[in-house]
Amino acid sequence: MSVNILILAAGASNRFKGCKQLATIQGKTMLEHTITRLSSLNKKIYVALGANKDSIMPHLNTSITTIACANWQLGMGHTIAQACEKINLEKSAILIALADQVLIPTSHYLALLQAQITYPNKIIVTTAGDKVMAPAIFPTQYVEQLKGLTGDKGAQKIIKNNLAQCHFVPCQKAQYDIDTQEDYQYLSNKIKNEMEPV
Amino acid sequence: MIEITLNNKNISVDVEPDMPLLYVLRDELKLKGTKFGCGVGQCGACTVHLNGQAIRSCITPISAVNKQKITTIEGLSTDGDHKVQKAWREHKVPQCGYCQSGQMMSAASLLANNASPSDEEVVEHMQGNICRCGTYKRIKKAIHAAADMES
Repeated sequence: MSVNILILAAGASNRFKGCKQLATIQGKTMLEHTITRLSSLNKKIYVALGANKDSIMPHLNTSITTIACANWQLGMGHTIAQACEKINLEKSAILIALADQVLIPTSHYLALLQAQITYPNKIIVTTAGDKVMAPAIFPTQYVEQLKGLTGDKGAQKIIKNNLAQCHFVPCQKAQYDIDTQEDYQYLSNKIKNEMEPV
Repeated sequence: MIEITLNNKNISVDVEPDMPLLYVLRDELKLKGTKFGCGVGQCGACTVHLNGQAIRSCITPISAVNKQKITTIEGLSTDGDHKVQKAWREHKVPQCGYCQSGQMMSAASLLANNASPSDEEVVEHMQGNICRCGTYKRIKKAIHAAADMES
């Protein structure tokens, strides 16, 4: 089964008070960091955009396909649903990643892909401690459920309803995301030591 | 020290953990079949296999593949007789040739997972490998021909 990659970057970053996707760390935007790591996989990358769409677009390489999600204001569920409608997922799995989990190393994305090949019918889910989280890979049979997501709830619901069908890949660094300016400052400093420069 | 199985041989390299796999292959190990294209993981010239899957070596830190199995074009077959290589010769695919080791590595990983891909599947899988000479038609033909070969 082939794999497409969807990076969610449609939010308004209300708690961040600014355009989170374009905030820079080590001279590169958060979105670029995520794209770079995922580009290692040699799979097609889609970026779901909503808020700040027009200012983000010029920062994206032409090989990235953007999906304009008109319903982004209704929440992440709507964004995922709308993006999945626009990607041909008839025979392909989808790796859903977030643009603000900036500490996740390339090796974790490679490990997810490896797990997907070993367990093609399972949902491949990232865990940190006892929490399940993105990034995750959904095989094609879950696409209809992804298309049915609404509101603020992301794909967590699907994972929790199908725990027996999940394969878990731990990554402690996945627990850090950037919601607020404080997170940003904290992680920017942390990253100087921890993030692998590319 | 980082240890990898490279083309079925166990080796260890003493490099910075964040050095791209491509630089290790080309500059440290002198395996020049894998090419540097864009350097930002967008063109596919640097494609190698990680445990059989096509990955882009220019943006993959060597530490990310520690203790894993890497195959480069030099290790795809012993005598250049992988069915993809045979089909590439038969269909005279390369023009300038620069991107072609990456193209062949991508094609080989496709066929390893999908013995007879449709046209659509070929296009989807190969979308990450750019050829500035535009040899795409011959690439597609050669992949179908390789799929039809007895392996």
